[in-house]
Amino acid sequence: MTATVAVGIWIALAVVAVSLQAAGLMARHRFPVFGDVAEHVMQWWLGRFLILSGWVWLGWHLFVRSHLG
Amino acid sequence: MVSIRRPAGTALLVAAAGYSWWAAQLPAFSLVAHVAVFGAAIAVLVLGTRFERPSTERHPHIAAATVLPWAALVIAVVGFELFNFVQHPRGDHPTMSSLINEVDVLPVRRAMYLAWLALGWHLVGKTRGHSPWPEWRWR
Repeated sequence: MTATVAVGIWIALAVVAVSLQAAGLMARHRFPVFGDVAEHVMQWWLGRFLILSGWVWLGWHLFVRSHLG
Repeated sequence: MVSIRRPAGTALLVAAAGYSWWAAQLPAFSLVAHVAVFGAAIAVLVLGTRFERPSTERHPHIAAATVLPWAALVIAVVGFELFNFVQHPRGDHPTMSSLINEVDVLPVRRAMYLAWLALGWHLVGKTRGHSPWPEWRWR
């Protein structure tokens, strides 16, 4: 896989995420936004643990593993 | 639970912006960068569960089928991240952090740090007052 393909896949995933969020905002009672899904999953302790752990991991991954050149 | 008022909310936002301004420029893998991220995460988890948020409209019922696209997206992102992580060279298989490295602009990193803190605050608010950790009960 070349870098161009990999970056293209990342961009496609970002576009899908924005599209799903936009769909949820435009049709709020038919399709959930990310916050609705997160709230639903976080009814249970395991859901809270996974989502909040994922958020901590994201911060570590983005701001501890990377740096300004 | 403490009701959050506008001055307190503004103070929290200013504090988070100042923190992001400082923390975004810390060197990679340094002890201080670790402390900055995990310290901020603990602060968000603790403060976030102590403040009551303004009520927002909630989705009345989430049909399982409507969650599937979100679940598929999460699986795709995590899967592609792990796939890239175990592949080399990194230039051909960029992870999220290596892409962020390409964003070599400090103001953008500061904005991203603030966005990460805001995301955590938002998610903690979605716990509806439940503790993020197990609620141990002594018998």
